[in-house]
Amino acid sequence: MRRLRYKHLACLAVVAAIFATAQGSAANADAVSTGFNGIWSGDQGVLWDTSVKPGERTKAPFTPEYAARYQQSLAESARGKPKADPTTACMPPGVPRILASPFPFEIVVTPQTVFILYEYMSQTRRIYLNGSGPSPLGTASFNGHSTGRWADDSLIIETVELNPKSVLDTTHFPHSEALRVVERLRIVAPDKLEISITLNDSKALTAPWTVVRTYSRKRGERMLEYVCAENNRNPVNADGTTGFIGTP
Amino acid sequence: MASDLLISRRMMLGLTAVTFAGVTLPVQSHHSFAVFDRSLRITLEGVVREFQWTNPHVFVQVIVRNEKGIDEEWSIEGASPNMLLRQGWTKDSFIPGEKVVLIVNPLRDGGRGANFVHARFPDGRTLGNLNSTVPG
Repeated sequence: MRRLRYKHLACLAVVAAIFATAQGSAANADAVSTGFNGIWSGDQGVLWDTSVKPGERTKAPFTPEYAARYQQSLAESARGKPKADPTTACMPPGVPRILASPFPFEIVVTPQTVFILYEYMSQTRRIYLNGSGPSPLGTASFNGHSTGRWADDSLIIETVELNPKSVLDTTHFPHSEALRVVERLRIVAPDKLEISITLNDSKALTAPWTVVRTYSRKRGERMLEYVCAENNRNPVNADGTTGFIGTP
Repeated sequence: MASDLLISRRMMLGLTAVTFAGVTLPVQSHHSFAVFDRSLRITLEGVVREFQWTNPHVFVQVIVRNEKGIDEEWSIEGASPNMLLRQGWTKDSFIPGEKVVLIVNPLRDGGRGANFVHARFPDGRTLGNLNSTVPG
């Protein structure tokens, strides 16, 4: 009888210890994940390649086919006739371009899903943390299909099924449907979020290519509506350039 | 409408057109600004008809008297209201009926449209940054 009681007590102690450890690690994980919550705004400009000045060529390692495509866009710009990029027609910027938007975004971490709510074009990204199959639509999309996992102090996001209609910036930096984007998010200083973004695109790039962007926390910022079609007076002309609706 | 305030575009072109050496900065906008001649600035003096405080870009509709003495409406495009709000603008930054002196980058095709650079009101209030080379 007495021996049995001790056995019970020992079992209880083990269970309690396991429970306490689990609680502790959950608390640590919460502290890491909730640190991402809030409103952020990019510190760099809208050019995808943060290492070059406006007007300079990106150093991205394009394959010959995509280098030629990029070169053609630059030539059209140099002639003063740049083709309108998809956002001119109010298409969303898509992933990864939305990471270079000059408008703020809000991160909301939940146990199953990380939501990233972008002011620009009122876009929402859902990062599935517990696994999720590809989109049931079976087609590529502007924001793609994102899965995420926690690794130490970072959130790693992988995004596939991306629509090649989108470009990465106003220079018409192209990508293919093979693009897989890997983002590593971590807090590098108080109120400073770093996102290292690696593009893996076997058709457009000869090697994976990474840019690192930083974002500042915007305390007290208010997220606003942005509906591009509300009063878009810059339609795409018949020749593909950007137009202007003036006064009749 | 006080005609003494309304100066013709041609006259103002002669007075204030300024060219800038090919400075190109990334466009903080959802579209290309190639439609405007950003190497040129003109001054328009007129009266606000309407302020369109809407995405994706704000527009100031302003009545300007031309060299023949005929009133014409111009469309002046600015940045997103979301962005401008964070720079201190409000939905009342331009009041219909108010006189205004605008410095703008005109359309390349000579139409009555332009990209906003700077505004000055009779009470001395100003909007925009004359040193800015970023559109809108």
